[in-house]
Amino acid sequence: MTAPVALADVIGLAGVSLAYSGKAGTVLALDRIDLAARPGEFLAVVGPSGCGKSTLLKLVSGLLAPSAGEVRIEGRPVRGPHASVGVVFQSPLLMPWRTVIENILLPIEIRGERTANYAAAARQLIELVGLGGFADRHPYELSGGMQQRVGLCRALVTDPPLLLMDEPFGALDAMTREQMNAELQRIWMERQKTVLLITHSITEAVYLADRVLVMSPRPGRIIEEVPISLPRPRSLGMTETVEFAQLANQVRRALNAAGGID
Amino acid sequence: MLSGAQALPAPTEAEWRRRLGNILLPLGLMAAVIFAWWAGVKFFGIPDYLLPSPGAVAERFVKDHDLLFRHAWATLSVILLGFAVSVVVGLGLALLVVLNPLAERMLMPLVVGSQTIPKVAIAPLFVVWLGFGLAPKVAVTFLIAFFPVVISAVTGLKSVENDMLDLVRAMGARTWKQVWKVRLPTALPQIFSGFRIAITSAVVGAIVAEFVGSDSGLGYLLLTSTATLDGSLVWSALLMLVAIGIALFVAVVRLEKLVIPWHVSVRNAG
Repeated sequence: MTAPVALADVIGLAGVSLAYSGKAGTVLALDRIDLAARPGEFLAVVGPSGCGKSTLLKLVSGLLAPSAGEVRIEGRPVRGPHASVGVVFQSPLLMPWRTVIENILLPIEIRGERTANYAAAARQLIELVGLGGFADRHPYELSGGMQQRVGLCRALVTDPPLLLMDEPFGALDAMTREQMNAELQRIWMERQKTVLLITHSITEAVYLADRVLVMSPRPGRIIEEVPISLPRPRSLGMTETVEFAQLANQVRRALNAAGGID
Repeated sequence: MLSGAQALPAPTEAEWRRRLGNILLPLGLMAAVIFAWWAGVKFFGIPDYLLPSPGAVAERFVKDHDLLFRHAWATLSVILLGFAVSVVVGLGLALLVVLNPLAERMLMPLVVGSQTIPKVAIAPLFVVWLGFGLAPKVAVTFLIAFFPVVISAVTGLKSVENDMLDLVRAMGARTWKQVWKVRLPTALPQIFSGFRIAITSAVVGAIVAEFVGSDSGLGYLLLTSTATLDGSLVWSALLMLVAIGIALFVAVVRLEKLVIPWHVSVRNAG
């Protein structure tokens, strides 16, 4: 199932392995991963704990270098952190000393650009995620879901073509999570980003993704790819349809065959 | 929560009573201590050179306030200079230690070792090395006060979540941007608790230094007045020292409130 790495692909991983040496000797975290994401495509990765999902994300963002194989973003080989990605982690990772808008403008400051040039874009994003009026609040004044929305704005403020999300809603309660899923779909459809979403939730993966990639336990390999052709925009009610359940079951079976999710 | 912070309501009667209590109760305790002191001296008939009564001390304080303030000023400059050097060197060392594991292995034994040396024993050496002026006193003060700065700053600078560092690295932040944008602000609450300890240690350090090689300062005044069994002057100098110590501590706490208003410890203090 080697996918040819075309120049147009936003993400292109070819035969990527990652081994690291720990106390227990050399551990193979990822084993010959091939992955391609077309512009605007929404990919979800599910897999058991410790299968290297987060490692995969660090490779794509340039935080880690592969032991073998090549990672390309928009056709260019990755040699370290690059400007083409916005990253969202499970914890919102907001800086408590900064207001909402100052948090969102952090990537601009780190790039050494003038934040004034991006203030309008930041405020637009704040409106987009439904936080209008909260620009000058501090994180401790916001709920968990609101904080994660700020994290999303921060990832989008530089308008990167690629959004990497590592279990972004894993720490939220079930109801907030569903709501955030719906909003993420809306934002994705509006902004036309390529998204790589790592998640523990099969429902979340099937609801959001164009393709769900299933990973095996360590060493992580992509063992199944489930295309999700449900029409967009998908409603939360759609998660109760037979088609949805069949797709979710297909993902679940692949996971179980690989050793289960936990 | 959604509607955010409303304007604070005007303080109620209960609120005023609470605020009044916040002022009156500490003053009351202080008055009780002074009363106990006075009663003890009277009841047991303690002679002046052992423990003078509060009244005698107050009288002396007023009479010799010129002398006391002059020496207090000398001590205050030693404290402030020693503290300033401690802050600069302490934070510098902490950064070095946090960013470079090898530096940590090399420097930390020296830093810890420096604390096991009795300052009273080494203070005369500083006079021999650095002369009879301000320098040896600042050096002794520094030697005591820099330690809490280093320890707290190292802990603070290290207590950044890995994900947070990954996040700013992914944004392209190099070492110094990481320090400036993430590590230092994260560490500020810890650093300030180090400052609180350091400023009080600096007071002790300055006095130790003045005991050994000085002809001015409250330490010198304490030494000479103790030698002549001048009880009321000893206690006047001590009270002056306590006042300086408390004032400096409060100044650091105020500064902390200004610099890190976002931190839980500051927000909860109201």
